[in-house]
Amino acid sequence: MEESTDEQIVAETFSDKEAFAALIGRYEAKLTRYLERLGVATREDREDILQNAFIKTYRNLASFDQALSFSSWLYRIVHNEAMSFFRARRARPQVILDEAGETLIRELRDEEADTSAAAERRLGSEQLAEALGQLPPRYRDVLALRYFEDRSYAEMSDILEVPVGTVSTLIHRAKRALRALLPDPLTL
Amino acid sequence: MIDTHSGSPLAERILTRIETEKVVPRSRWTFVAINYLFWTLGGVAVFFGSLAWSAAIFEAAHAGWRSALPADPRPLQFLFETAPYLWALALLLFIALGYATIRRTSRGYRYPIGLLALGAIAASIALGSILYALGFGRTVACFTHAPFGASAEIILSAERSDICKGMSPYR
Repeated sequence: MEESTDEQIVAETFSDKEAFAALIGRYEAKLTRYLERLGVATREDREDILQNAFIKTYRNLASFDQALSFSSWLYRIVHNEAMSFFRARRARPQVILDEAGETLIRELRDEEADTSAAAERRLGSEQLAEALGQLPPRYRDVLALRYFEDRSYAEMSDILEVPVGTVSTLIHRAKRALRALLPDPLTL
Repeated sequence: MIDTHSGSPLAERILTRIETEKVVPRSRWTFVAINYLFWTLGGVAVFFGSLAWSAAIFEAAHAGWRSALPADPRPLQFLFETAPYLWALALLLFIALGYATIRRTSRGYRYPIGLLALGAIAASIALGSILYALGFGRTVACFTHAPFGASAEIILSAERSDICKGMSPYR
């Protein structure tokens, strides 16, 4: 059986709110992982953020712009909710990284000017997570979206509600800020 | 057919909250109306910006150049003193307002700030020039009695009184 698209489920939700459960089920794991990578440390906090975000999504379903992907729109709502969470709580972010951290580590290594020196440098996921936790939430967010969630610049523009050019600038600045927090030379 | 049974405890909790808190999706027209409202406000801001521009042209064109320049040994200072600051400030303010409101529309964030600002300036200048040609610059300048620099006010007062005769509420 062909799987329904997000947009079909959204349309169905207007007449049957139970259909919304299918959207939640489809995105729950991805969004939980996204929140972990953003540094929302406890399971309770992640669930609270997700609950609030999904309730807002449901309430504002009619404002969903079909020119966007539903996924980007939902990530935008979760992103906004997470930023509000970080503003309200002064708790230190604790980034949880899985194998996705390797993508960012590779990216940082590839940008090293001296490749022979870079080959000798090793960076562990724990060090990276620690450094990410010290970044301002906005920088952490752009790196998470780009390197862990594998989002395109256009999608990030829709999620962060900034022009594509600004996304590029933010990524550049975030990587520079991250490099400044990593040990020099990068060692394991 | 959509499988609504995700089996997720989170989904169950969210659906229960939707039920108990009686959450309902807001109607589409609300969002459409808000979107149009912001575009309209942006347009109104640019329109006022163009009025400011038309008044600025008027002020610059009637700054008493013929009488002042040959006599004034410091034409740059004269230019500095007679520049229509109030209108330039008003123009900038309305352009900023236009940008801020358009930025809040559903896809307004996609436009870079430079492009939006340039677009708003270009629109204000184009429309403002038309309004000036239609005589609105004089009307706006005379009715609002825009302040010039102190010395310029002295230079202009006689000329200005003639131009704005019977128009300014302050005279």
